[in-house]
Amino acid sequence: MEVIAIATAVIGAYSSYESGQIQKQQYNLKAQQATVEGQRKAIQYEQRSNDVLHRRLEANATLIARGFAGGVDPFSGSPDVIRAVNDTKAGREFAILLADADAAMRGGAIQAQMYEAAGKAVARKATFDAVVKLGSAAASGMGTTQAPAPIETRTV
Amino acid sequence: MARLPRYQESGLVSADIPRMDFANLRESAEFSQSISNSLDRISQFAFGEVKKERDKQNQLLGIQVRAELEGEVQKRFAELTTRVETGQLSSYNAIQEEVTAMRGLATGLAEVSPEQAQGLMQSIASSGKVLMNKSSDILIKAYQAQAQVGLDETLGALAKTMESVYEYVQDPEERAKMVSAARGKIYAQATQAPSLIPMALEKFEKVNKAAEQSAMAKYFSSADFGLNEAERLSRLDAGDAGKFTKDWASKSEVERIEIKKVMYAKAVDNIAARDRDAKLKKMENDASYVETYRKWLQEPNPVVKAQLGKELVKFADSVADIDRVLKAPESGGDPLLFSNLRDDIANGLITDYRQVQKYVRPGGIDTNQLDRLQSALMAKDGAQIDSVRKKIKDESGIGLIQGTFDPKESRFVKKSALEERFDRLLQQEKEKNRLLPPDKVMPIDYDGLYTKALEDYNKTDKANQIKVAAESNLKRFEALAKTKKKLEVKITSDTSIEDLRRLKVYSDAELDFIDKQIKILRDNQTK
Repeated sequence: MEVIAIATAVIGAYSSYESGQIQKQQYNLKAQQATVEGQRKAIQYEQRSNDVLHRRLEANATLIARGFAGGVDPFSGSPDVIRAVNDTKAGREFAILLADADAAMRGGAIQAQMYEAAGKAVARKATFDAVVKLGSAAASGMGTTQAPAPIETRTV
Repeated sequence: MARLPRYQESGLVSADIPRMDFANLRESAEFSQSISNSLDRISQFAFGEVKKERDKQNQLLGIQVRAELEGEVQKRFAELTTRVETGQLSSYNAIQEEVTAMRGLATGLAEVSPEQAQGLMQSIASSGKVLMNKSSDILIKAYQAQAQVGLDETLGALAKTMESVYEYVQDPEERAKMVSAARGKIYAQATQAPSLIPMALEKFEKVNKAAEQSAMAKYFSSADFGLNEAERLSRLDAGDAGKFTKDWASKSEVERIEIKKVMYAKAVDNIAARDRDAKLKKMENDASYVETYRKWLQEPNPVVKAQLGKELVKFADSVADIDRVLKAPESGGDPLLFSNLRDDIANGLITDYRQVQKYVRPGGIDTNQLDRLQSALMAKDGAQIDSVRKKIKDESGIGLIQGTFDPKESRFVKKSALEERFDRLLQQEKEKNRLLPPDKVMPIDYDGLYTKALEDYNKTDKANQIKVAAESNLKRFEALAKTKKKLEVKITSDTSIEDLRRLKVYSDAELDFIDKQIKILRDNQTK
């Protein structure tokens, strides 16, 4: 019976270890996923920032075209002021979107690192569990299978 | 005016910070939890092992402690046994209390090992039982011994009473009643220790018989029964036993002989007692006489001296001479006789006081002259002893002692040994003379005694023997050395006789002989 118990304990220890390794791999995959997701979001933000620039260009071009068509200098006076306002507004949104893209990239990377750390933690935990199980099995095996030390008894 | 085209804001705000999945923290927390759980498991396991170990240690400790306590218990039992055996502990309850108190030792052990405590308890109980049995045996024996002593005392007292009963109660029936009562008393006393009853009754019968025999023998030995031994025996042989006639008639021949034996024993005892008394009286008289006589000799006061003299007269048997001396005059003695006696003392012809004492009589010497002669005797004796002591000193090689006196030095040892021998011989000689009648007393040869002492010393003293042997050996070695030298010398015609003389190995005769030989050699050479 003791042998079976020990074998079970060893198998259990191995299972723990294996499970830890698998979980670690899962976390590693999650980490890669998180990185990719971050990058995807960053690209989306960058696309939107390009849209902002495009729309600013459209507005300013229309402004210039209308000035030339109306016989107004588009690079001075009111058209120039409006164009400066357009640039400021578009610039602000552009900056926000760039920051969002950066945040998305960083968030993905951070999440990936966290998953990697979690994977390592899981692996450590599993290894520790396995060691503990093996230790317990060894200790209980020694405690139960080893012959007890002889004790002198005196009959009086 | 137409409105100029403007940039339309999309109303963007900064994107929310992406929601993070804190998997690492979760897993770390789980790891910590796992460690905690594992530690718990390990702890539980370890504590289990510790408990096992503690149990094991307790078991060992229990055995060890029990062994020690067993030793202590046995020691206490040994002490208790000694106390019981020597009678210091005689109460059964006290012993029981001591045994119960010892169980306290097991109570302490129970906290460590209940099994061992139980074993110890059993051990105490079994030793306690042995002790109780032993003590009860001892107590019973002591009680029996006490009862025995009591019985012996009663029997001793009864022996005297019974003898009186036989002596004074004439009626046999009355006497039998009294004996029976005494027997009952002994029986009653013996029932305290029933095992003693047969022995007590047996002893009583012996005492009873001895009392009867003693009483009869006492009566038969008395003057009331007969004036002498022959008359008493003839009366008994004729069957007439006086007041014991009835009893005597009932006795067998063997019993009669036994009574006669007691009678003879009493007679012998009486004679021995009379002799002893006489001897004691004589010894007392002699001692008193000697003491009084010594005082009388030394007393200067004539009145006191006369009184002492009267006391001396009482010892008439021993003091015929003293009596005569007392009756002798204090003055007016014969001067010529006195002078002759003094010369004899000086010449060593008279050496004993008694030899001059007999001349104290009317017409002889007076008591004053006797005193002077005694002094002369003592002086002569002292002078002769002094003379011998001087010889001993010379013999030992002791002159005027200079420097530190060392009694262990050989010459002082020799002196002591010689003096001891001489004193012993002189004492023997004087003792011999004292036992002889005054006219047969031999003069003591002091020089002869000294010679004897010296011979004895030379013969027996081990140290002296060694010295003599050493001296003898030395002489032999000297002789051998001389011979060796002689052998080494070559005598030729050139040898000078003076050289040979300087060697100090040749006697004069030898030198003369060698001289002649040398001359012959020279003559031969010249020829």
